[in-house]
Amino acid sequence: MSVESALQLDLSGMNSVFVDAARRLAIVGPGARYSALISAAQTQGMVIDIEPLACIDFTFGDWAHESLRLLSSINSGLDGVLRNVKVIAPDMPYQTGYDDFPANGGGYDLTKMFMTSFLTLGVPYEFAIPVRPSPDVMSRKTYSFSKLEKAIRAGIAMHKSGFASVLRARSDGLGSMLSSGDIEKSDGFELLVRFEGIPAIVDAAEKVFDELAKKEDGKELEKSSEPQRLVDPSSISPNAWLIGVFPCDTLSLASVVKEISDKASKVGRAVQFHVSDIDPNVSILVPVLQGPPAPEIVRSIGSYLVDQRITLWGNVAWNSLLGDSRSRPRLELLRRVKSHVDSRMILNAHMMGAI
Amino acid sequence: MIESEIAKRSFSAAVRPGRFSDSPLERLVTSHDLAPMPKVAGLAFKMMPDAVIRPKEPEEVAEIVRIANSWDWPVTPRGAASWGFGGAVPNKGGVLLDMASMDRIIGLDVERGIVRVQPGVVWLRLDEWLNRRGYFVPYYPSSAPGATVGGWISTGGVGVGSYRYGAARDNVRNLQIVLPSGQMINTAHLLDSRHPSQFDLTSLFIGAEGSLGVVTTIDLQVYPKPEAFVPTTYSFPDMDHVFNALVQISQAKLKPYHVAFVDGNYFRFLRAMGREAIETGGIVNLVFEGPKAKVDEEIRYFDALMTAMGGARLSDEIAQHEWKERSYELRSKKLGTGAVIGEALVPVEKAILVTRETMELVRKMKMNVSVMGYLIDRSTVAFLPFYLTDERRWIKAISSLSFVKKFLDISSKHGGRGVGLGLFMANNIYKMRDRNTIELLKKIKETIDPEGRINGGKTTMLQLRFGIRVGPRLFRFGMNALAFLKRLYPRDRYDRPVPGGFPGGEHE
Repeated sequence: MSVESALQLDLSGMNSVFVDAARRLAIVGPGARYSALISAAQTQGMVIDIEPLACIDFTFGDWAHESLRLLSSINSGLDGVLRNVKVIAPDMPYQTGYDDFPANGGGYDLTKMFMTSFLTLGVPYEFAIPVRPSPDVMSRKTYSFSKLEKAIRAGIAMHKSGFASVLRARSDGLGSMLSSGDIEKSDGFELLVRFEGIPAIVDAAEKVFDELAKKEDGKELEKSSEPQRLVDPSSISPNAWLIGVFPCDTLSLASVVKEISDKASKVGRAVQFHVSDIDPNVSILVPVLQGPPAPEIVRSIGSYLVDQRITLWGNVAWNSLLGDSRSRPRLELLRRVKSHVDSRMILNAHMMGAI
Repeated sequence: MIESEIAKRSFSAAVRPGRFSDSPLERLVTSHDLAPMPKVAGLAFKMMPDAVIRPKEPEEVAEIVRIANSWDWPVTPRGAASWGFGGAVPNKGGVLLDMASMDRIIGLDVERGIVRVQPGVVWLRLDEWLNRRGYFVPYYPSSAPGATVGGWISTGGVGVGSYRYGAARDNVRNLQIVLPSGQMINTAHLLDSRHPSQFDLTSLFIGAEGSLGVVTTIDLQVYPKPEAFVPTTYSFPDMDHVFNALVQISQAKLKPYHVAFVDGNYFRFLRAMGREAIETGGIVNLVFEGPKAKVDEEIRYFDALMTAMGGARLSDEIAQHEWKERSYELRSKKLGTGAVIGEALVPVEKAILVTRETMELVRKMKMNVSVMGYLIDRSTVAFLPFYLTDERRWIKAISSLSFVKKFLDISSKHGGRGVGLGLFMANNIYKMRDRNTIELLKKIKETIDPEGRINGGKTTMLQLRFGIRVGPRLFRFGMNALAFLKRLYPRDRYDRPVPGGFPGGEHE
């Protein structure tokens, strides 16, 4: 929707990070970066259970705005990694949950609804995030696979093995595309695995995972005890463009990747992929397009994804494509909730097209 | 009267034959939950429904809600009613939707680990069904043999296994809901609430205690059955040692599957009933699951930790027994004729203070109380104290209810809060959330259910049978008066003798 004049709120200055080890809780502002929280937690011997999408060092405001760019790396999902958001809405301030407790049986929990509302339900000014003691060992391994299908099959088997870990995959050429905008042609995918715990358990997990990777002809590329290197968003090449963030049915992932690649190649463009948070049900697909943004490719890919009933995150241009994936009673309900916290529809009103 | 009969005929026509009843017996059976309420409570609440309906399909539920709208009848959804706050009991009569009748396990997506169930499926049955297919459900209420899936998730769902696998809302992937308008929605997309998409509503409905709509289908994440599953039990000299051990567990580098504790009083109750029970100041049950190599290391790690904290590991036979008994803590109600449970979440570090003050309250109120609970995450203990009661002595029973409120006050004082609002504890929301947020929650209820049709007058407000609202001040005054009344009574006594004597109770 067009507006005559508008005010843009820059929340980057609200970047405070406070880690309270005794409460096992971190309180961060919307302008704080993931890396700042990691560092603050480390100084107190703590870690957090969220991972930034595609290892990009987003802010917590980014997390709430447009798309969930920080993802859970543990079984318990979003609730285990975000307890409460303090929000200022045009008609009232409110809190989505509780700082110190999971939101169970104490009135309605608003956290997920807020975090997926494109900031139409208020401006967050504080996030409460649980922290936990650092494990004795944290290590990473990278396995190389000739095809995505094999990497995904190995990832699912690892997920089902009972050794909790963080699993993600990426195209062989994604790193160079993000940094320089160039890629070498390859169908290969890397599977990145993070282990943690006490040494005996990490050793056992590594042995099991090595076997599972071998079954799919995976080769061990690298083992490291260094933390994952984060990508500064400002360092991403202008020739690499994140098309969006798509939760996809994991078992259909390979065909979705192939279809997106084909659509891009028809117009002479290449796409590389990052797959975050692999589990047997749904994984997060992030396609990165080589070259400048191209609306015609985006629309073509968007139409395909809608046909596949894949939710389109974080791209307003696709809202019109959502079509009947949102039922009328649901839309009415959401509009009425919005009208309660923002009766004059002044906050991110243009995003209401999303619902 | 005639109007009422016509309404009943409309409801009856909406469901299959035999699934509508207005018989006094059926209505009586569904007029209470786990908490034994004396008859006198009927003065404040119209707990007896006008009709009991047992639907089988979501479309029937939608039709019933639409008919209720046209006749202006309240609707109360009910699972197994294994909670005690009146959330599954009518407060203004009307239709009681007995959702336990929707008990079909619809199917399992073996590759993705998603099971689709109707809300009336009982947790234990679901787990057994999954076990036969190589899966298990690692999170469930301690009342799993009777509690329904829909009931537990509507109460927010923390319980066995939450320490590792999170609460119900962490594992519910989608809900199908019949809204108070009679329309049906799905709360999530792609069966995935781990990565919620635009305006995700799943967790809004989880924990809403059935006040925003009726849950008709649930998709749950389930997990491959583990290679090893080992319960262990440690005995401690007293509850101070137990809570110190819990603090250490919460700070450990590893995470057991489940961490539960039980005080010594519980075992005294069992002995009073004539059952064999261990002598202990309190126990901690640690349960491990996963690949055998991992479980073996975890047991070694925690064994060293528990020994250092003054715990003595009991035999595997006792540990297995405690694990099997995890759902039967209310066996001891045989000592009275009933038991009432309070439930609160308390910071781990403050659990010791909450227990001490609760025991002081028990002494003042002259009651028989046992304290048990479990860790639900690294910061939080779920406390489940229960007291024995006898609703046949209605003044005593009514005045004893104030214990729950007083216990929740103690929890709040130490940074904790109650779990569950339902009908009787609805005003506790004022202790849990700030005024602005409460206003927003009320507005959300009004938005979704403008007539307050579905479980109205609960959760965000306390409403009596004639629509009279009871505010937090009046509630507080009433509960304090009841607590005072209870103190004037002689000490609660067991209905059976206590072998060896127990300072907490005497044979009457």
